[in-house]
Amino acid sequence: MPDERLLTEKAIGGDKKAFTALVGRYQNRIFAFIMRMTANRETALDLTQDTFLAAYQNLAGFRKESRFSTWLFQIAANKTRNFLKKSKKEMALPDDYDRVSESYRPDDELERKEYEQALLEAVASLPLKQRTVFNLRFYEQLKFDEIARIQGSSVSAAKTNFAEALKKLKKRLGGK
Amino acid sequence: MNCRRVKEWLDGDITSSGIELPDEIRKHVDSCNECRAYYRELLELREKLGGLNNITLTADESNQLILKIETAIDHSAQPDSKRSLARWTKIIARPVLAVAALLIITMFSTPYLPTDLTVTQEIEEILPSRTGQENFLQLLLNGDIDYLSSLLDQSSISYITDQVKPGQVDDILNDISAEEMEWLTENLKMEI
Repeated sequence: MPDERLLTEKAIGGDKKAFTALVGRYQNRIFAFIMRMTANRETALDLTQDTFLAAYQNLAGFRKESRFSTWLFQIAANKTRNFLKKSKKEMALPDDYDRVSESYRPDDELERKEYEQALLEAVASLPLKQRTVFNLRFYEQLKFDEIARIQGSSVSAAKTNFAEALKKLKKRLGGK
Repeated sequence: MNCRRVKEWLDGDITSSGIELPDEIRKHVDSCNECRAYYRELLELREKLGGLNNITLTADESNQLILKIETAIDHSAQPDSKRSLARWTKIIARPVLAVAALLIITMFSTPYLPTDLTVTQEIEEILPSRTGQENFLQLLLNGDIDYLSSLLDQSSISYITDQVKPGQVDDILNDISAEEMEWLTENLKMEI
């Protein structure tokens, strides 16, 4: 598999196939990130596409000090934030909140999907900054300094947002 | 190591892939009932949240996405420096030019932001509030090129640096807060 740096260089040099290979490499991570931010599959699909198109249009601005994936997450986070602010979509707490709190492990496929949706909505109901930091740290395992750069904030602010998000999720999902 | 610091450490290190405990933390957790209970609680939370670990596109969605992106990029030439500059000029160069000109004048008269700042109509259109205008000046003066570079292409950055020469006055300004940055990105109507 070609090295990320090599693919990025080629893409910046105008190689469309190299860019498509980068899309193939990161589409699932970007999609999953946006899904957890919005709890809506159609929205996540649209914003994933927007993210990659914006990345393509701005390849010349990619500074190679950061990883390409970090840069993509930055674009995805901004796209999502702008979308949510425009649509003023406030996430309400899920109706089946208690069900997520129980030690509940659905076997049935339909129940599993419902459980996943309830979890998604619990994460997506966090305040925007906390949600972004939580997703980037917990699921994408980015370092706090990378998250701070993506958020345009300090490392300590990123850590605080993560701790606050964790506290809320413990309360919501921990059943305590 | 006390319980508060152990809990802070545990909170900061939990990810979907697990928590790796260094010896010092492990020893404390093993010997402290309260922290052990806290650690177990975190592991339970991690397991629940792990239900969202495997979100992926279906094969169809993945193919469709790549096809749409390929089609879109086939119909648009990759922005080279000239195209970027043209786009840049349309979106923001005029106000930047006006601000830079204003800046050069004010830099000769005072090292601080002018309190009687007047702005051109172009700047007012993009940055309607007084705070926004001052923030934008601060951003330019502060030479926070790293952040700008995550939003703009290289030719745009070069354009700004050529116009403003950051570093001349960067010791007189404070850092821009995250909120101001957010305000700027939104109000400058940048595409990313």
